[in-house]
Amino acid sequence: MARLVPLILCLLLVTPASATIKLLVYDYPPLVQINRQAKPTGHAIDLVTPLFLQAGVQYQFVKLPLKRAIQQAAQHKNTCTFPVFRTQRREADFRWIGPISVNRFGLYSLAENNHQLVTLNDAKAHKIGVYAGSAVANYLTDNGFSTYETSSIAQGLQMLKHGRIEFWVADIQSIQQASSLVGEQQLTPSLSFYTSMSFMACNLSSDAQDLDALEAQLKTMYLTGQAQQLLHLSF
Amino acid sequence: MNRRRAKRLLLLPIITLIVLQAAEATPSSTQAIEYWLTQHFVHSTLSKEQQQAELKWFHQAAAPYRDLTIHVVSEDIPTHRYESQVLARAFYDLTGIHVIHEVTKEDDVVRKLQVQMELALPIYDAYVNDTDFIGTHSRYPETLAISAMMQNEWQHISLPTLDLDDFIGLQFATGIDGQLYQLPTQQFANLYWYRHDWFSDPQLQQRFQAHYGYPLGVPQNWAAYQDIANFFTNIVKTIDGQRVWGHMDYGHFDPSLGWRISDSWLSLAGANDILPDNGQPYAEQQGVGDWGIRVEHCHPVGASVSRGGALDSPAAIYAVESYISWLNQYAPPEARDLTFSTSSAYLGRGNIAQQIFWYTAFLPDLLTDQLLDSDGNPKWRVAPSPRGKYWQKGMKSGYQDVSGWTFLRSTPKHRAAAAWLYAQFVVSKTVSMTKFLNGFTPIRQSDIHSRYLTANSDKWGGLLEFYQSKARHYWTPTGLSVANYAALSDAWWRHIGPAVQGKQTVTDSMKQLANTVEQRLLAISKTDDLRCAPTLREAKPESYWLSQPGAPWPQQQAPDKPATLPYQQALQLWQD
Repeated sequence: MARLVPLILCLLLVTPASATIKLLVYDYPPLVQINRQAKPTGHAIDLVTPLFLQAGVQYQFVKLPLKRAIQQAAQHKNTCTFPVFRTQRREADFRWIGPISVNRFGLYSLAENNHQLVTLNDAKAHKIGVYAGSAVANYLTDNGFSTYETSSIAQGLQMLKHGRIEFWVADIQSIQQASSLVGEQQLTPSLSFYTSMSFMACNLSSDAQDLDALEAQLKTMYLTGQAQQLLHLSF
Repeated sequence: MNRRRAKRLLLLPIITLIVLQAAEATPSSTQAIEYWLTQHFVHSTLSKEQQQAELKWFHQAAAPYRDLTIHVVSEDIPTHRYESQVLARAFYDLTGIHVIHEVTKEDDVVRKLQVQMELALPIYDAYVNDTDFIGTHSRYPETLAISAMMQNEWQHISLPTLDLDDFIGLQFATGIDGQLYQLPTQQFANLYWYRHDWFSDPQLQQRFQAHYGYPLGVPQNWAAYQDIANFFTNIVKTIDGQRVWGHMDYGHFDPSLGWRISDSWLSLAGANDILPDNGQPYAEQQGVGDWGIRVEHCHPVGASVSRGGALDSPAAIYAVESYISWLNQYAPPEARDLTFSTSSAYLGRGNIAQQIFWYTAFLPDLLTDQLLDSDGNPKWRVAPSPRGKYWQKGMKSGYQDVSGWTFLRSTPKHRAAAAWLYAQFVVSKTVSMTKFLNGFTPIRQSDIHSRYLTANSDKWGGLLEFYQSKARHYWTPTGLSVANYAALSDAWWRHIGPAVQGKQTVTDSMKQLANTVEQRLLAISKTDDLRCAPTLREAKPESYWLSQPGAPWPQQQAPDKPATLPYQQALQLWQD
């Protein structure tokens, strides 16, 4: 039955003037959380929803896996996907709107372990778990770390709880939620080491006026502090 | 003397003593100083006592910021890895300030800086940003002028032995108003690179002479460079059974393609005007500067020939046509899909004979067994880059990348102050020579001329000789003509890319590029709050500007006569 649930999760009509932009989203907590029968939630959704409303641009959320979302956004007009990390290789393929998230990642361990880290290099001798496919996972690989990539946050945290890894990589915004998954044991920040920004990647042939309006509105949301509040930014 | 004043005078020595005692290094800090000086910062132009005094000063000055964690960011080159992995730890041991020094891709640094400047979102407490942004930082109000801060709020936390006059790149970090906006922390140049061992091989020399009628040597112009490229790629073909190539470059369609062209190709071709006299105030200067942008009295007025610029001038078109043609004819086929980073690693394979300009920051990549002789010295050398047919004496001779510590107004003051201490630490005389030995990106005159580095100069294939010479003044970063680097820079790779892919002519690409740059300059002047804002001139027939003295230079049909020099004579050009 679940397979029959329509891919389109939500359709909001704002003004009849411009084309509807398809927003391809995938599970990437805490920025985007896909709930099968309801509209997606998460910090980036909290930002993007009022962004489109305030810019007067129609949109609809469509759930797709990351790779297909990026492929389709590159190929189809009036299609965007988020959250996407800009890389030099991707840069030419999209019109970018953002940032739609700013995340600071850290190494977290169980409080009882009492690890003291000064630089990221100090963690090289330890076993580190990280959510597979994330930008921070790539960052660690680029810096010569071998990590345990996990398919879900819950899996990584279970590995941490049972001592199979010594550090779990998480961003500050999601750590409170993650703490509840390891029960009573407290997670302690050992070192924050990487800041990432993600963007909305839009098809190059999309309506330029719409994208300009979104860009301008997002700027306003940051300058008034609304964006920071919706993204739960602490800096 | 009244009693109140007398009491004050009696109290003065006591207060001074208390202050001095409080400022005295703690036993743990004394141990930390000893550890870092004996185990790491062994090479310095300072005596050990002077180093101790400098490190004690950091310990004391940092007291109000102890236990603070700050975040800074820089691009990924060996120098910044050393800062991030070693110097950040040393600074923590000495001061108690925890610095998270992130190292990431250059475009990521630029994007984050741009976001912080535009949205006032304090992502980092300091940036290591290329001084290519000096035209931006000194025009927009978002960046702190370091020289002004040093005289005011940061006076008490500015290192007494910082010695700004000792920095070799200060002029590149100085803005249109004469203020210093960025504190240089590394410098590297684009220099000609070649396999000295192959060029010195009598058999190869003989073959070259027989084929071209002049000696194989360091090419002095593009005509000779092209002959040498053809010689190795199409005539020699293999050395010791290995396929070799006479030219190396990269052409992948991404942002680093833009730097390749904007950094050096146009200036080496001779597209710009002769560099102005350093003593002339910027507000009085006029002519074509970097990126072919014409500036009049500090205002950018155009990029196209029709407005007196040179971005679509004959010299610029010749530069990009040469770049594409040589990439296709003489470089390894895979070079077309390489980038700034991957092409440098490729050079380490040892199958390239020469590169028209090479980023010396990647020197550690070339200290591999394959590229070192039996004495441990490089088989390669760096030398002055050959120039194109429009180039004239006094013009920019190449690009130099200078990165400087940059502070934005949106950063909370106490965090910026702590970051300022870290910035000074990583450029201090105590650590600067050791940093050079780990990244080969010098910043201080005292290090460059030190006995230790001079005695070891053979290990770096001519790099030190370049920095010891006056030539370093003619290898310059992007200058003040670029009013907003981040807003303009992507136009380069977006327009050059289709020409590299053969989808359109170079002339069309350069016309479109010049047009895009002008449109953006116009938009900046309308929307942004900046001084010396762009004011576009009215367009005139190109023939008008091409007949005026200076750049844009008119079409030059005659090719250069190829010329080469032996290595030592080529080096002499730097001294002259």
